[in-house]
Amino acid sequence: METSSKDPLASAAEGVTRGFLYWSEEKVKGFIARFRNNDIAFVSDPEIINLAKKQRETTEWKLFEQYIKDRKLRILFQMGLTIRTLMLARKKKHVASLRKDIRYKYGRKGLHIVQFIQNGYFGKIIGNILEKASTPEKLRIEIESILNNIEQTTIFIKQDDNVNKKAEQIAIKILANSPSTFIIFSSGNAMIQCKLIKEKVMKRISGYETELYKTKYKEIYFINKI
Amino acid sequence: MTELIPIKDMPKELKVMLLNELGYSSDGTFVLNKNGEKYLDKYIDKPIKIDNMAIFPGSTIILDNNSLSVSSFLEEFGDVI
Repeated sequence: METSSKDPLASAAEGVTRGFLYWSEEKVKGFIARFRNNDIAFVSDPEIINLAKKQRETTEWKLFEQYIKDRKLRILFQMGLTIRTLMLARKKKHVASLRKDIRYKYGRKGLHIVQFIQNGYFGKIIGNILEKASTPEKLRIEIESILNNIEQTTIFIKQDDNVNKKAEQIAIKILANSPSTFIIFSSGNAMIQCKLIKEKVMKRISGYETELYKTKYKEIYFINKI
Repeated sequence: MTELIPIKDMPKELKVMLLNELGYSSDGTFVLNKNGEKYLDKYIDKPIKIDNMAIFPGSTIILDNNSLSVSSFLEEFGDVI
């Protein structure tokens, strides 16, 4: 049997990948021999393999992987980078399918961690954490603590959020959990509400100080334990 | 570096032959284990469709060819592919 095969994805993919194959029993047997010798892998979509490998070459990943050994967090971090890349390439179907898999395996919290990384917040918070962590071990503990407790330690303010309700919600979370850092994110028009919320929160709690990271379109308040 | 052989367009009967040679089988849709049960992707706990499988060398690991499983594999075994 001799069958032709053209795979445009494969030929477009980077790395060592065959893009055009004529299939036959003899050819498959030859490949199996090479597979047993660890020379080859069989893949339905080489692009996905190369996409995963590329994330592991990014500066963000190289920085993160030095400190974090928790396998779940390491995988979720790579998923955040992967989804960011897919979003830039407008691969919405792939993103939707991946989010579904992440939610199935790691739940809502896992998805929140992925979104946190996807939105580039790790790069924004690392400076704040570095200032407080005197050793690499303390840095690891702090990063893991923020990610593992993401629903208790971070919040994203939306434009239509009620200022009083949101401020109360944040104050309760801080008073209940005493995190070493609580992070409030906002962007665009929501930055006005964010500032008001931060001011109200600070009136409700003690033993904390704030630090602001600001760009034209984003505002991040770090509420740090003194 | 391990060469990636794209099998998306490999005829189904040859995919089944490939699986048989490696000690697995298929019902035409899913990959089956030695007991004839649906073989689950170890990272996402879902049955693997023969049309979207990836087979990695070493101890012959068959996965669904999705980003979460592939990254999980790289995380467990390092950059072996």
